[in-house]
Amino acid sequence: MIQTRFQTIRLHTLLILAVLIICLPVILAIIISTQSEAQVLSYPPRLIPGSSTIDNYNKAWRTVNLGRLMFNSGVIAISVTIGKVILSLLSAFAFTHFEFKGKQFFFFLILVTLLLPVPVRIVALFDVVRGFGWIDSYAGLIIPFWASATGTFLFIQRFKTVPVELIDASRMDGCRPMQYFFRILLPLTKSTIGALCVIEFIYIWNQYLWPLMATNSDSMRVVQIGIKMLMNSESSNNWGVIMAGVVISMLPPLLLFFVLQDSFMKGFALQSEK
Amino acid sequence: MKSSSFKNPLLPYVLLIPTFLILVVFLFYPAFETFRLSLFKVHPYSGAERFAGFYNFKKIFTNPEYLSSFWRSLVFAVTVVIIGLMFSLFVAVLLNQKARGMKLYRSFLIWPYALSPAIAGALFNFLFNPANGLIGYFTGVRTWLTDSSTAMFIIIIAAVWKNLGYNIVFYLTALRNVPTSALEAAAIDGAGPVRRFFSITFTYLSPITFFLMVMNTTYAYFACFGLIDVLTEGGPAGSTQILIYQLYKDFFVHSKIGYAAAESLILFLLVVGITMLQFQTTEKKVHYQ
Amino acid sequence: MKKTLFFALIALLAALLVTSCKGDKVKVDENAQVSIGFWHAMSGDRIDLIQGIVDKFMAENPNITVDVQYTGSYNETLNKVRSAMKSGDAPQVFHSYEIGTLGLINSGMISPLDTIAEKYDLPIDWDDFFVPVQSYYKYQGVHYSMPFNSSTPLVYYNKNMFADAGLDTENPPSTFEEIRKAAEKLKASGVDTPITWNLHSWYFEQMICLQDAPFVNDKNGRSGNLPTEVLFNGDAGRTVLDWWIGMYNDGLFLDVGPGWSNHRAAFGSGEVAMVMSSSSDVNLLTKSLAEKGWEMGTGYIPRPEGAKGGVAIGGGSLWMTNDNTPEEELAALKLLEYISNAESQIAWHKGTGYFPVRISAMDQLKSEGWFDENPNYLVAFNQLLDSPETLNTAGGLLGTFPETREFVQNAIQEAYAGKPVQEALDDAAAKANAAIADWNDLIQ
Repeated sequence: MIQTRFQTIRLHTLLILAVLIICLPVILAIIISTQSEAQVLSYPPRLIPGSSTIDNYNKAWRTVNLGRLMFNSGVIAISVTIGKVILSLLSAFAFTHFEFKGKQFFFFLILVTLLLPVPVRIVALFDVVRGFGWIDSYAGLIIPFWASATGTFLFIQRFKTVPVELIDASRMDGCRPMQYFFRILLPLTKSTIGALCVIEFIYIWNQYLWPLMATNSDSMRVVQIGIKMLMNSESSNNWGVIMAGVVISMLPPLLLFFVLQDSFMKGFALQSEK
Repeated sequence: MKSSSFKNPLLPYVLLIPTFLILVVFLFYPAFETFRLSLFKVHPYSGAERFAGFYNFKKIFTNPEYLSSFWRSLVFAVTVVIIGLMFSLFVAVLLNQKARGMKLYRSFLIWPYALSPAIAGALFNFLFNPANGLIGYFTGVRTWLTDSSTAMFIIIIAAVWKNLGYNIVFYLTALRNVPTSALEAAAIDGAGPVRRFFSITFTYLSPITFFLMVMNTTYAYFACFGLIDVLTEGGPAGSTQILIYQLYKDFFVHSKIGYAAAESLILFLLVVGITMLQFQTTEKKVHYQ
Repeated sequence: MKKTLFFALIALLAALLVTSCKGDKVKVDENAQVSIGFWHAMSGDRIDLIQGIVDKFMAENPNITVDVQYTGSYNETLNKVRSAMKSGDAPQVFHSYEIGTLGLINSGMISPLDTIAEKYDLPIDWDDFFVPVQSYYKYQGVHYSMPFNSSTPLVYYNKNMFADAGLDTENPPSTFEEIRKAAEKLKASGVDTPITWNLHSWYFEQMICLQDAPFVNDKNGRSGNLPTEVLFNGDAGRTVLDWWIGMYNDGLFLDVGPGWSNHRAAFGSGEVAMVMSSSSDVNLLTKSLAEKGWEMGTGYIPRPEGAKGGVAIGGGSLWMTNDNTPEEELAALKLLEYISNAESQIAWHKGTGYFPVRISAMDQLKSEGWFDENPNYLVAFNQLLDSPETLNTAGGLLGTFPETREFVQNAIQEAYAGKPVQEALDDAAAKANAAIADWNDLIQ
């Protein structure tokens, strides 16, 4: 297809426009995060960086103990991701490489979990977690999320594409199931694991409702709740400080995103195939 | 499943134990318990239960607040899906052209995926806030979030904006899989680019469109909680109170446990409906491949 | 004859009851080692402030150990206490908001403070408490909880803008009509939207109290029966909302929505010249005006001309759970009395801006010269001192208060949007009454 010069220019104009629409709120946030309260409120609005950068970031960091919140979010996101990957790998291995009684039934049960997102069971889930004494603890934010139908299905699909000959060959070599799992299957699944990790990490990092209910002390809050805490604690809407907090808290998932963009794309592609 | 498998009577169960332990304790039991509680009146302090039959459901369906929240959520989801998908498809088509710098454009167009709904809420709060929002300064209209006829509009824009990156990626991947041969054949038949798009490309995109509809609907129903909590807390006058926010308040703030459990059951039925749609799409997709 | 016998029997029973109550005064080993829990809902700097007060208490009572925990918002704290009661590891003392009072009285998980105080013969000198502060937590003549963080609304005004508009900078407007006139003058002098406050039912409730009118039936929820309907859609409520919405419609009032930041921001940036907010904002608002070189004044919250009521207290109080050993009870009681003593209350006031709950604490502040440095606080105190004690000004009690507030706030927003005031209030009242009926049924 041949493009004329006009079409190329039009394409770029439209794309730049789209980029602007999508990026503008964040660009603004970054600019505002450098401005003092007076600069934010000046009329007409200043759209250039201001003079209060260090102050704002410092204040945002200290007011709601953002470091601690980011640490919490990080611990939770990483632990959930690791647990989910391990459990899904194991159950996918069971479903693909073994024949056993009740297989269909177990598979069906995993399927059913797709129908039970947190809000559907939140009333009693809260009681269960409370019963374990896990309210306001890492355990309450991590362990209930370890089982994943999505992860299991993803790995089942991946495992199915592994050539049958590999099993037969390894069986000939006297390889036991778990040896086969660790030596042959896992290395072949690396990129799928990577993709699931990135997606799960961001999903958990961005979670809001459950951490809001399951934590209550300032030291156990996560970064998403921190944003609202920051907005409430800034007694007079000092947007410079709030936006500094916003910028800090979106950095980890963004960095992850830009560094592992390809894993992302793969993860996305896999998701839609489940 | 696999024709060749290991022979070990115990190992598969051992492998499944961790997953099912979690499933039973944190999914099946709480879900069952929630559904059971929907049939009870629960004392807000002691937790004492009294069987109440369908009392809670009767309350729900005669509560005009809940009903309007039900329709509001539906309108919200449908709008987010339509606007979101149209805009992302448009951008994806642009991105699918051959020109310089496409990879860079792509990066800058899909990264909002990594942002959270709560962050989207904070950003839009800054833009539209009635005391000192930026858009208020520019337009002279400052009631964006305090007027019940415009607040939902802002929530929709914010929700669509946040999910653009996600939608664009999927459309882009799908567009790349449209066989060029089919397009070329149509071009030879004299079809213009617009007709080519709607007659050929769009057909190939329909499975992914269906998938995205389902994902965006779930997003609008559940994940937008953080966005609303940061931006409007369901106000003004309840005009942005969607079902999930209603559930949060009834359960967590007002301790109406039986009533909230009944609300959960209704959400469950919605999820069942959406998931059935999803399975249907998966089958359709198989047909196309 | 039979009748006399009957009465004699009754008298005998009553006497027995009284003596058995007297005999109930438990003697416990005051010096036994005991540890108690205290959960509160004050975040930020206030966590350290409370810990500081408790540390001093422990230093004076070496046999008592208090484990203080910040357990999140009032709601979260209450949720936590509720479940801890079931599992038997509830704290002895916890913090709740004022509007949770009737719910807690009927919760079956608390002990009334006065009952415990009498049991251990450590009576509390309620006469030394500000009338609105103690009367709110008094139900059927019994104080159920210890007032803790207390505040009322207050009008703050920008003296420089008042001067520019030709208004008296020392005598702020104090009635509905005066506020409106001042706002009109300010508008004429170029302040586009002269007044604001955040969307909160609290102001509405307070201005009903100022008219000595009830918020709910059954003696404002204080008769001993559970109230069955709200009365805020009567004359008093309509008068308030007519005035409020009238100012909004005439462009005198800036709607900044709910939350506690927007109205302060609008006042701090000079966009409005008057703001209504909590009395605990005195320091904060003084500072933010001073940054711009402006001077701030404070005034009573406005009332309709001739209204004779007073303000009710807002904030929270400290409650005792009812599943404790006598040693724990006594320790908890001592803790509550310590927190409410003048010394603790002065530290609390200076650190947070909340009122000290005792008149003796105010007197001590006065002699220290605190009000010479902080003249704006004095108005808030005087507003408290000027409030009479009636069941109406004590503040309404209602089990579903949090939900009712949402209905009221929705009604106000509907009125902004053009719904007639009476209709908006009636609709809100109908919803509130339905919620009350459900709650009364659940609480049985």
